[in-house]
Amino acid sequence: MTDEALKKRIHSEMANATVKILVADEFQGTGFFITPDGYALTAYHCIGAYPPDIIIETRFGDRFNAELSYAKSLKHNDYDIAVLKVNHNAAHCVPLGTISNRHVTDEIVAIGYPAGDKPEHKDIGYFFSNSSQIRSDKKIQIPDAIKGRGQSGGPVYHYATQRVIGLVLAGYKFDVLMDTGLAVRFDALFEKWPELEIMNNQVAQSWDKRLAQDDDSDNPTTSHENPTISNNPVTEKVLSRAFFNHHPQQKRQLINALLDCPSMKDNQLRNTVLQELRPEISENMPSRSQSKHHIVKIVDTCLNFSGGLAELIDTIRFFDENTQQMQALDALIRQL
Amino acid sequence: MDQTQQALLETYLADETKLYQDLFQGLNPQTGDSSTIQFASLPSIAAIKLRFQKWFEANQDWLQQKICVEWGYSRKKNGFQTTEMLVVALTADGLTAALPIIPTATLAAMIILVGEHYLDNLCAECAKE
Repeated sequence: MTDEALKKRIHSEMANATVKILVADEFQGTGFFITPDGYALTAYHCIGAYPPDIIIETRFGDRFNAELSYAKSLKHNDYDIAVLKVNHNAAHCVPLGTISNRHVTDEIVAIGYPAGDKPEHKDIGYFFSNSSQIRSDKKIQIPDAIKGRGQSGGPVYHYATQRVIGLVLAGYKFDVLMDTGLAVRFDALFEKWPELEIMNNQVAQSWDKRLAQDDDSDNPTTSHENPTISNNPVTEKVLSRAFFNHHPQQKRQLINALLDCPSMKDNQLRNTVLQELRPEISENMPSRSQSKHHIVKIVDTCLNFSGGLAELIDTIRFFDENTQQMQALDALIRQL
Repeated sequence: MDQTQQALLETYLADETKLYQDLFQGLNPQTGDSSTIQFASLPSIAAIKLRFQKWFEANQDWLQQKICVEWGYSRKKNGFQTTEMLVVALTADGLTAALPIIPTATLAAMIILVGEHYLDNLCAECAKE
């Protein structure tokens, strides 16, 4: 995989893990998932004191109620990190890391929703730069990539270490420094929450493996020509719980179309398909003896993971490529 | 109540937006250094009202004891014809300054407690008991 392709892949994965933070049903800032079991970080000031309901919204439109973990959070002038937890598995999460002075001037990307309360800025933004300084208070100073209100809590990704190395906190006033912002490092979070290190190592291993697999998939001997629908934000938005909550009839049509596919019709083949899904989905898959009932449960389980249903359909395509039933399923998805 | 407080009281009574914005700053004072601006979105007045409700619920016992019981809010309030006069009286007796919120937001909080009938309802329940 070329550097450019790898970066695109990283940006896509990062964006999938990056979320909007809403308090009292209003957009407040950016956040991101850091563990598969639903821990996310944002800036503490995005939550503030006496917060009404906190909601995390993924880029696929899924919304989850979140609890603020006071014990794990850092409500402090120098750190300002809130730890949120949703009772839901996060299909996309990113590993944390730290940088030192030797990484100053390295390339970074900051991802988030500056001005995300305005309709014309509702989509995620990517802002590229280099870290310029690690200040005496350990905050990372970043020019050109921290743009405005709504970006607080967003991740700053460091390409060289392949880790999220900062969480956006603030921008300098224009009379101090132009177009320059600050991100907080995670050292203090690891100190306050020791278990995070083990969880983060697992996330990091999975992240590194995924990026390495993408390297392999670029090799012509292992790639296949079939079009995939996962990692396509438009399709993934349609194949989400939020969409099907509003379109129950389409969900039934999709279940019927899945039931027609040869690899889903047969009980044994169906289980083979399910084993091909990423572990966090396949391990949570319920078993049912009746085919249609099972497929309803499979779809519901996949909808618990961002991009899960798209992944299922891509896996079915691998087994059922060129069949009429697969073509019918693709046609139905295009119509959704 | 000094002249500055009196002027601020009148400003708040005439400008609900400023009242709630100052209250929000009191509930969530800017952290970090003064050369930067935190990049969270600013909440609407409706959202700040919900946040104030949470603050009220968290401090209800204190408010009930100090204002309903010890100050005798239900008994005294009819002696004041306006929100302004009632807030001035509570401030003169040291209750505004004593509110469990940072000092820059105490006046805003007391105006909301009186003006939005939080104390009426709280102290009425207390009187029933």
